[in-house]
Amino acid sequence: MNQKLTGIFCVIFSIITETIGQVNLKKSTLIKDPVKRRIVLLFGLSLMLTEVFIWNYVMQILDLSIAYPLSSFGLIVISLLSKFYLKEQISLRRWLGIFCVLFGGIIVGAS
Amino acid sequence: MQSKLPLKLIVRLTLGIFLISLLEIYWKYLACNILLNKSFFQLLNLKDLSYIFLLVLILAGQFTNWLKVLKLADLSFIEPIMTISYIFVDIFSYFIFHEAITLKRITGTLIIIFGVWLISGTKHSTIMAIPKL
Repeated sequence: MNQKLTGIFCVIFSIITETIGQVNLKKSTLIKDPVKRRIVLLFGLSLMLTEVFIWNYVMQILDLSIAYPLSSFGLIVISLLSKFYLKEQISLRRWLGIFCVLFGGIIVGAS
Repeated sequence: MQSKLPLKLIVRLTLGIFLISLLEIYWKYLACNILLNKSFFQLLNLKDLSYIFLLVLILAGQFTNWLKVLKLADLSFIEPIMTISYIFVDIFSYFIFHEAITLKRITGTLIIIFGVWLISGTKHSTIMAIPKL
């Protein structure tokens, strides 16, 4: 497997760990039971730390002009998980805003 | 549609954007000046460790603030708004690292600002059932 392909796989893996980590951090703020809350918080935190290490590796093997735009897609994954898993209400206006931020992020990242 | 945001949320979001911008710029500064071409053992001196400690301190501050922000609003609301830190990183990168600000970057930044404006006009928090563990 060449380095670029490995880098793209690592970006996808970092998106997965970051989004699941963020969703669990948010979920921890909603749980009242202190023991369950700590478990979910630590799970989320450990995923976020894992993401930092994966991202550091990505920086070493992949061009930023590829890595940053790709990572912007994490925003869509987070929004979808927020809607279907956390049951957040996302209006059409917010979806439009999310896509604008995603599009802008891709342009900034690729420049 | 709920467009007025609570002051507490505005303050926390602003602090979060400031801390994440500071974190990115400081991390880049460390990577380019302090950590560059150094092995783990070469970093074990008081000067370099104090630089790394400051990074950990900013990270801890950002994480603590992030948890507070998460309590105040939807994840789908705050996560895209945090991308406004790109703008501050761009401005500071221009002055500190003398990086070029291209027309493409300005266009992307304006689109982000428009997106954030759209999001900020939506209801910031959904009353939701606690998901099962």
